[in-house]
Amino acid sequence: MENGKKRREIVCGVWMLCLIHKTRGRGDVIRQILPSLLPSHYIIITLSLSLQSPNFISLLATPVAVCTVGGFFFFFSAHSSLVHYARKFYENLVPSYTVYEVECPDHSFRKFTDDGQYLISFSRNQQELIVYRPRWLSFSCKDEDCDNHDLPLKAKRFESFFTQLYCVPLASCNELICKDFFLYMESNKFGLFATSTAQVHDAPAVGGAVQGVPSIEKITFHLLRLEDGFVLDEKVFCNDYVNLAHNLGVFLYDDLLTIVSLRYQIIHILQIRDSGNLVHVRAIGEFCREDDELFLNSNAQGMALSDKNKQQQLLGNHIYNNIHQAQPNPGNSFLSGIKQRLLSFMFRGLWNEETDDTLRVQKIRQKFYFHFQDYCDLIIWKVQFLDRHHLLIKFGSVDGGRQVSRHADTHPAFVAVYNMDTTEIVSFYQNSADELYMLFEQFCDHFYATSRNSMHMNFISSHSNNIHALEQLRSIKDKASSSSQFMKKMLSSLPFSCQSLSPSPYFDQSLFRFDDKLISATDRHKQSTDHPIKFILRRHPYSLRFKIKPGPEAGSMDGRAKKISWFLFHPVLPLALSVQQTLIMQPPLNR
Amino acid sequence: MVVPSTFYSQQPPFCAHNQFHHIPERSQLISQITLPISHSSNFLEVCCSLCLMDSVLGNWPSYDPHNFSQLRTSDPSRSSKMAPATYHSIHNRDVPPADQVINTEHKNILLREIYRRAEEKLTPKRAASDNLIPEHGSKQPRVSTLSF
Repeated sequence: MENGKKRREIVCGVWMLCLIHKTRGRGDVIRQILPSLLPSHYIIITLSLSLQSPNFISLLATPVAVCTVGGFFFFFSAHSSLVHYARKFYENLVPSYTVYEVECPDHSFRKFTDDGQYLISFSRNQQELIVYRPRWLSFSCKDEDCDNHDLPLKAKRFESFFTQLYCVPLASCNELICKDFFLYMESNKFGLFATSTAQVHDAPAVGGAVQGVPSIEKITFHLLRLEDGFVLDEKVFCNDYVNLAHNLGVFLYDDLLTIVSLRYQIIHILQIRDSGNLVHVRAIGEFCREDDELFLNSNAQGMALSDKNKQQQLLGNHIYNNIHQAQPNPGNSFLSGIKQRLLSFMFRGLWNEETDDTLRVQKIRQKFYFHFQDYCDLIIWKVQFLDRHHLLIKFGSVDGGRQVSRHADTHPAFVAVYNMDTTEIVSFYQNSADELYMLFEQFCDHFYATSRNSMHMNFISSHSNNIHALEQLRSIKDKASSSSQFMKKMLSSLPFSCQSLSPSPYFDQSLFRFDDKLISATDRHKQSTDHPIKFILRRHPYSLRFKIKPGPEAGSMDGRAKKISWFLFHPVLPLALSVQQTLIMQPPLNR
Repeated sequence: MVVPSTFYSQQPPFCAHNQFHHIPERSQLISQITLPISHSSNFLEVCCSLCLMDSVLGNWPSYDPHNFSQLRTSDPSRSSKMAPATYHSIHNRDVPPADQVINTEHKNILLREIYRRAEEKLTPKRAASDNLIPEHGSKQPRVSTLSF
């Protein structure tokens, strides 16, 4: 067996070296635009590089056998590999050339899809969607030392790297596409976009709406087939408010979509069918089970009828009753279904904590009834899936919903785990609970709730699967002045936003070390400096692997202007875009 | 992605067919090992019987010759109380018994932990006795039949 293994490797090795030997003599070599940092006698020849299978890169440190079959690359390894160990090859395959100030069309680029097939961008007027296909620049060089050659002029053009597939108008005249919203369903290559009209801030709270939440006249979710830009389905919400920025109010898990209507406090669960239809599955909020509404309505009708009969009897008997008989109105007198579940869960939990009856009553009075109105006033702020049946719901007060982590302490927030099938609350924590933090620290991966269909989302580095990320977390914890503040700050990121982390291997903490303040896997803007951002190897020899310098090549002219930059990393290829924006600040008045 | 596991069951595409004829002793070894398993239903008995077959195990090198000195080959009373009878299917048409198949737990580990803590909180009195009763989501001891 041992001999057989060795032989296989040698055969592959010899085969590869033969190929190289053949091509070297001619000097006519087709090179890749972004050469690898492998030793020079390795040249990766592609017959046709296919983007279809990102998992084609998987190998271990030693030994490696490479072969091409039918135009696809795939790598064998003699041993089995761990999930997070499988991308070590990217230590050698890094971007090594920067093209500055590329002349690109005036679009706002959103992100690469998680399988690397499409680049999503929106037109500057936020009315159209433009989708590009990332492709690879290739050129041939006939000289002897091709290594030291500069890139050809066509490398400076945007079109050399991206091909426009189509341009689709999504928003009508008074609507705008939400630039920060995009969800990708990888299995069917569907994309979800959102358009909305202008926000109305002082909308009156009618029809069960929550006071203090703005209203948008029309929010439309568009489901598109990204292969050709065909609009498959739309879902419209009228006079409602959904938090669209950075996918905060929407979560996609497999084919299930949850949309949180903040204004009416309803969690809409939709299913994206393979045919492209958006099917409404259930609405959790006022009612938990599908037949709750029917039950209450039928009871309400029954009560109304019996009241009518009683009143007729009373009138008939000429007996005047001073007792005011109010019409039963389930909409006003009952709390919403989810709130009832929550309150009864809290009550039961507190009740079971004590065995002595007097202590029980005391505890209930102190911890439950004293804060009863506050609990009733809690509203749903954010929701994510934990699996197909469980939701993680964040409750908060009306004012503190859109809190940033530095304001976390002023407004209490609560997190509940809700089972959609049994309609039960499984657990309920305050935002600073030790128990919740322990779960977060140990099982952070499972809070990310990635779809089972997409393998590469398992590669996201978090402090639960990566020792370096865990060390970073521990160092922040040690430096924090108060542990409860620290826990609140960490837990304020729960529930997580969907598809907010890039699966690019260059953000893998076990491969590279980089400055978290300047660049990270989250798709948020970061403060930009003139210094390049370095990516350093995690293992020996701890060398600098590559640098990213956002901004112009020579550095910016005005060093004092505040600049922000964001980065779009291709999930598979060693290709990254950086966009830098200078914020124009008004000069101070001289007095 | 081509899974290397299937690789071992087939010949590698780059090696010629006749390069495998130096490995007959391994295949012989396998056939020797399978023989006692089909007749004996107890894994430990199999181990013991293998130890008795000096030609199979006795010549295998080990760091410390005393490593297997504790193993009592002639102790049928002890071995019979250990593992339950394992069913070994000798043909494809049979489905293995339900408690001898490993399935993936539907709930992920986070939810299992959340449910476990919730159950602990709801029943504080029975916390001590709960340790003796297996939890709802725990795996029953199963014989592993890993298939690669």
